[in-house]
Amino acid sequence: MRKSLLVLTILLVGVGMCAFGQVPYPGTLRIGAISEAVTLDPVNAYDTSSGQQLLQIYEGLLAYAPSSITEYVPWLATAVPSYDNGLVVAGEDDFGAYTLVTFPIREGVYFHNGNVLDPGDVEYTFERCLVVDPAGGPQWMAYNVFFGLDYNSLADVVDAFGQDGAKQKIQEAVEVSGNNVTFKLYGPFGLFYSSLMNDRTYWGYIVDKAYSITNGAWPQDFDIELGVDWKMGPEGAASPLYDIPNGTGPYMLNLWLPVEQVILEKFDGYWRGWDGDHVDFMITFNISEWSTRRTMFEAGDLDICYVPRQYMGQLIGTEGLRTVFGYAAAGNSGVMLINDVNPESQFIHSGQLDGKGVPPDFMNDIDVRKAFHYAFDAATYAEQIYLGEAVPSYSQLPIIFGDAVYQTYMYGFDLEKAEEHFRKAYDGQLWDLGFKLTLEYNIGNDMRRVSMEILEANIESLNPKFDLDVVGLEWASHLPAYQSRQMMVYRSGWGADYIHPYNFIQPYYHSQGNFMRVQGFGTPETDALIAQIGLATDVAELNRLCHEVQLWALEGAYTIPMVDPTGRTWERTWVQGRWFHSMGASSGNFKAYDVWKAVEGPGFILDNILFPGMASEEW
Amino acid sequence: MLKILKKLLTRPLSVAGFLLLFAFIVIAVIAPWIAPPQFEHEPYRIPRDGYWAEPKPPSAKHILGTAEGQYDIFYGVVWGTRTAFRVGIIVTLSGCLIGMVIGSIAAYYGGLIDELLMRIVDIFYTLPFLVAAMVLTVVLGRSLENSMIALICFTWMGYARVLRSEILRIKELDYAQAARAVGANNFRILLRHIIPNAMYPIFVMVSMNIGSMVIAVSTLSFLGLGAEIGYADWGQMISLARNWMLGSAGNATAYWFTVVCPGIPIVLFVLSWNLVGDALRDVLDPRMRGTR
Amino acid sequence: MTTYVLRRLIMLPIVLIGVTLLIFALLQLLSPFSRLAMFVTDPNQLKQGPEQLQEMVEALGLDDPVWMQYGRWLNQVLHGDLGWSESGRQPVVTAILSRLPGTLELALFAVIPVIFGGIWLGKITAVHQNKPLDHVGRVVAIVGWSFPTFVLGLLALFVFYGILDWFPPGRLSIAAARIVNSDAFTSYTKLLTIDALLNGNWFVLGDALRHLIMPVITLAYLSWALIMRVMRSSMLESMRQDYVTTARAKGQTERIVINKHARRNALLPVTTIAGTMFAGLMSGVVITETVFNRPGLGRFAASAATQLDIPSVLGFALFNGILFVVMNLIVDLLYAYFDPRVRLE
Repeated sequence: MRKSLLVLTILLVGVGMCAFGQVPYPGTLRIGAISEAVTLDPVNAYDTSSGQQLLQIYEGLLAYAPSSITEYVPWLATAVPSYDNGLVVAGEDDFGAYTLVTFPIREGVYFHNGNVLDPGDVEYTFERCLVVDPAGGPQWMAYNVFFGLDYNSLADVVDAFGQDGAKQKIQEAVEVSGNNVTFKLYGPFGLFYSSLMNDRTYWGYIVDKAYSITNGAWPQDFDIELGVDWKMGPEGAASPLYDIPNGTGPYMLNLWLPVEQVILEKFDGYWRGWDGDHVDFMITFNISEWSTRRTMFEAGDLDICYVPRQYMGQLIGTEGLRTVFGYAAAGNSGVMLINDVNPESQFIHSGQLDGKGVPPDFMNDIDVRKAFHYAFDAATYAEQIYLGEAVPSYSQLPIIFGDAVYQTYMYGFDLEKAEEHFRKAYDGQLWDLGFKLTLEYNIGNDMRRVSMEILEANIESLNPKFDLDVVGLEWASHLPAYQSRQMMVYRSGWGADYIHPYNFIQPYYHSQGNFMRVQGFGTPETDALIAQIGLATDVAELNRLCHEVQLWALEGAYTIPMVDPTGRTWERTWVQGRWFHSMGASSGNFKAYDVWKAVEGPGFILDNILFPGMASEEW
Repeated sequence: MLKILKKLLTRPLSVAGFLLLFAFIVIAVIAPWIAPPQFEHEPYRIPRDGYWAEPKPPSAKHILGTAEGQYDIFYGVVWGTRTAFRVGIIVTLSGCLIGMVIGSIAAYYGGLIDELLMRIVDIFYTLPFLVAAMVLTVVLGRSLENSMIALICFTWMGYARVLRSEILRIKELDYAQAARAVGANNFRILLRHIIPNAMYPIFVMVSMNIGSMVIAVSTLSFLGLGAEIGYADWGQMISLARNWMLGSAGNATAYWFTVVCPGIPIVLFVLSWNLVGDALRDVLDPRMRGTR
Repeated sequence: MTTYVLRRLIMLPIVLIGVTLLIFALLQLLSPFSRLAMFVTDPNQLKQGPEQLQEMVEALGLDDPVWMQYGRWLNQVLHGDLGWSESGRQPVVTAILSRLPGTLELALFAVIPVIFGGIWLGKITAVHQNKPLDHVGRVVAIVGWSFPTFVLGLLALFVFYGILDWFPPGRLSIAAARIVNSDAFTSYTKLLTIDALLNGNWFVLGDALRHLIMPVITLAYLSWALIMRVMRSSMLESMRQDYVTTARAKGQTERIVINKHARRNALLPVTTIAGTMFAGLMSGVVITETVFNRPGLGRFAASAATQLDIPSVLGFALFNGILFVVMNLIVDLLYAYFDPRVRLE
């Protein structure tokens, strides 16, 4: 149909439906969000807003099986390779042991521009990932599985193999043969599917080679200098494809008004077809003001709305709304205690143990660390900040990992024990001299601030000579302070990149991990254990290793466990069919293909296998 | 003098303005007694009763209720009076002084100096205020003092331009020409004749601005700058109300106190300064004398 | 007069260089890592640690000497490229030009009631000085002035949208937006109301107006007070001038005395303020735009400033500079028109 005629029809139908007071804009899903996509090119997308759009536009070779975080189903591939079906084969060469994983590629799949999906596209996708390595981007996960857990960037690969060696290795990493694509992994096969190949790891989505090259992306040319030519910068728009996506997914980009809204429309040639009820359009609005967003949601001008938890009380009981809650999020936070702080740091004041500051290695004293642990009131935090929708954490591994979590509370809120340890610290000197310390947080989030204030209030109540204060820094001042290691106590958060304990244990506990690197307590023995976790294939062994590492961390009292929150999402009662997977639940990412709008229907699809506590309520 | 006082005290709006202002001064002075500080060295830090986000309505413990984050509104309103005076007076008078100096120099000398100074005024007008405020916040930390500095840097221009245009206008008027004819020196003319007569629009501006500095700070709070969170400042308190203003499901006025309790002092404060400014101008302006 | 205009316009580049240089200098107060904050927005991005930050700083040239960074930027500008706006996810030029029509539309619709309403209010309160009308008018206007914008805006939103569902936030409804974005509709000026008229599309016109009413009224209510007060004060003053007394003595009707003589001269300071006000509206009223969810220059500039998106800030300062210089020129010309005694030197 001519576009204008189509628009007019939709308009009339929409107006008509409105006139009947039924469901406004029945073919359009309208989402009210507070942030928006940075890029629509999978190769450099690392934020959840981009992820939500990409989830509709592109696809991966595999997808998670329903209600599972460990099983997969074929998607753009036609089989899930395993040792059993012979598509996974182990091998060894002079570099090391490797795993060959072969995917047969599905036929009859089309990209939005009409091109057919073929194995060459898959090869191109992953070679491009390895060659352009966007700064600050997600491809470190690709290097982890292709080359090993010690490889996090293109620079690491070039350092190890040299220019020519690296080029050869990258080309060998993905090869086409007939209708199949074979991956050669020197890194752990156990992390391959979860971190790169499923429907939620958007950095592994398949792009169209011909389209990409025509539009200015890397031309699959290895006659370049790796790490210099075609290396992508940190900007969202560093990729020429960032606003002209072309995927195999059910929806394609209709219009992107930067910072305002993204409109996706139905791709008629989608390989899975369009039987059943679906929405034709998905519009994501960026509405930063809560009261405005809320009024629109209540008036029915938004179908799904992001509701900050602290305001949820304003919506409870509103007619026409549905809320789903009680599902554990794939993320948590912790208060890091940092050793060997920058001696010039403004936060440690005098820098001496003289009652007017703290020494840079204040956190080296285990009694100090334990005292801080006992001073954090996780229950009050959960109750007042999360409105009860959180449980105190055991460790830095969120409870969604079930048996891998060391499920014993080692500390907890106990002011007597906190005092006991403060008295013991520095052989009693600390108690007599007192100390002065500034706790810092990054402005913009009440949760961060309150966590620091709880510590401040509780610790100060023990001894009048303990002088703490809490200061908030803008991100722009926080970043340099972080870079120059000025903070001694710092609340950090981590959202899962992929569902595997390694993704949490490594950053928090490995000496080179994102957080432990800053804290400075890592040890080679623990590092070795953590590497094993990445490589483990047996579940029991995995759990045992995880317990051992967590025990080490808890006994050492390095990072104060906070709370494991459960999520909550809101939608209008006429939204039907939405469901969550563990990846995506915390950010509210969902597949629009399964959603439709109608007065009657199944509502939100609760998944009590993945989320035992999930429940729904509507008015 | 008595005549002036009499005039001031007979007009109803003028009396209202002065009374209001007086009431605010009283509250500011007795603040430590009616709202004793919880933190000895930080009287402007509002005491918090817990960490809940949801504001609690007025009760025996919190006479005016609590704002988002459980900050006591009564405390904030009382100590916020001091903040309002501080911010209003310091920022407005500093800005006014700077502006008047620059404006009169420009008008007095004319020519190239005038051009140069007016271009500097243009430059400051064009300078995005928020950038300056943001940079200050990043470099020096988020505080009321830094916001005041940023505000001073961006309010002086109005005074400069208005004063300059008034001076230019008056220069041509009869009595200025007469004084010149008599041989009085230019500078003297400027100081004794022109400026005092050019002050009236300035009066209006000052009286508007002292009051509205509170609002400027609330705009900054809205954008994430302004005073530290939990600082006793009306603008900030009203900014805290923004996510609760529309109440809860079925009860739109559930959180009325978060808006009304800081809002009324703001409105009355601005009103009082305006009325006082108007009254003073009406009474002191020689051209107004002899009128009804 | 042409020489006067030309002379003022020649000042323009000087002002622009002055502003941008000043901003650059201001930004040098920040360390290179602070200026990196626009690109690194999340600790998740720091997988490889502090060295990675250093790498990015160097890649973006943030630790080069000031004059070099400024020179680079200036060179870019002279080639017509204002750089990339990370916060707007578009080239800076596109970011500003795409938001300009929306802001212009709002400013034009708002400035008319503000200025004419304010002038009218100022006139009648001056003429009826100290009578009840004066008191009521002044108090009402001041109450509007003293309301923080968002309080009024949100209340208006709640009443007229939440309860009555008359005036929604945003610029257009989805239905109208689809028409505007389709091939059937040509956007000549990008000002929705004018384009709708030119396309003969009453639905879009009505829709655009419906979305304009509340922001306009909110802005107007908040700004009336200033114009009114300045008008009142200068009106009171000019009513005492000799030429007014003379006109009355000559037997002119009061109405002509007020309108022809007193008011004309009273308009001078008002013109100054009005010019500033329009320019201010053009640089956007960030709170109104945020509350009513309209894209605009105000929000863009505010978010660019708070995220330290330097190219956007500089680009916006250029735009602002041009705007102010041109507005000033117009105001000064109007001044000369209203008061023949003021000579354009």
